[in-house]
Amino acid sequence: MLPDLEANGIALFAISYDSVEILRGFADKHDIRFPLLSDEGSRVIRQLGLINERVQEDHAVYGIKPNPRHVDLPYPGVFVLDEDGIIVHKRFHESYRERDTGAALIAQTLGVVETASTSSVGAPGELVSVRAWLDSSTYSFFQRMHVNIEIFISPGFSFYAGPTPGGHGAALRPRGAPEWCRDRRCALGREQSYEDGGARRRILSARGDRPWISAADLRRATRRRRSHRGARRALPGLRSARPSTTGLGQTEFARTRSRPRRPHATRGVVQDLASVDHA
Amino acid sequence: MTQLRPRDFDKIGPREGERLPDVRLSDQSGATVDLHTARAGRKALVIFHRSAEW
Repeated sequence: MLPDLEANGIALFAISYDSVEILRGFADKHDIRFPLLSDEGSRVIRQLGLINERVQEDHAVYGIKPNPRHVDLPYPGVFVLDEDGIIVHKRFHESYRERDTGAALIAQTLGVVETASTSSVGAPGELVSVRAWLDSSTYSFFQRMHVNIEIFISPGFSFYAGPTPGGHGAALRPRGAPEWCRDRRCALGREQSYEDGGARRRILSARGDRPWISAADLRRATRRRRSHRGARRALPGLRSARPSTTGLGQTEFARTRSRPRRPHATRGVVQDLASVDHA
Repeated sequence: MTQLRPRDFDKIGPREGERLPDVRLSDQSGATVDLHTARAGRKALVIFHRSAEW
């Protein structure tokens, strides 16, 4: 933690009511190089109004036996000072038993998040990748540990939990899509449906054996939208599909199947078709 | 009681936006440290903690 702070030009001080001798022993034992300040008698702690007057009550919560040394304890916490010594952030806890990890302190107070110090789990992907990691590789009882989650969405893509907003089509680049489907010029996974002003709309569907449609195919289909057969030629994966165009330049395929398919959950990348496929 | 009574830490101790009062204390080597002087114009974290002994 200290090197991180020093690298950011931040001084570190710790204050407790221990004697100089106790602090010297502690510093030697743990090789501590920053000032441990001795406020024996808790004079400064009291002046600052940081004494926890209800320590015994707190101890009862944790089942800690009364101890004559446990008087005039400060609330545990940290002040963050700017260059002028102004308190820009303070973070205190009810009991000394609760405390943040060093990494969390740095993250919360300075906005410096450690990214690689602990093991992480992730789901890498070309459109969206997710990574999660703990902020400390060690844990002490009652410590407040934090989980960092990083979500990266490739530029040009948006995600919706559904229903898909009007004017948007659905789902590019499903898992395992072919090479030519690398970027946004490739359109549409499976059938999706969404609510639009109370009406349930379906947007383009493709069969499992041809789950990807190139932009060129889609353009062709759109040009020939008067011809049902044309659409079928252009999109052989579509059976009984009748493409039509709605007002906003959005391509919509109304299926003529008598038995409506169970709609897939709207899940995946959603993009404005007008900007992608009608270029 | 199974939970700590929550405190309003905004009202406990110096507040955000205030300057931390001057603190002059001995460090582990016995030298007197004036916190703001020792900061030497740097930002700082000032940690209050329980005893290093127990």
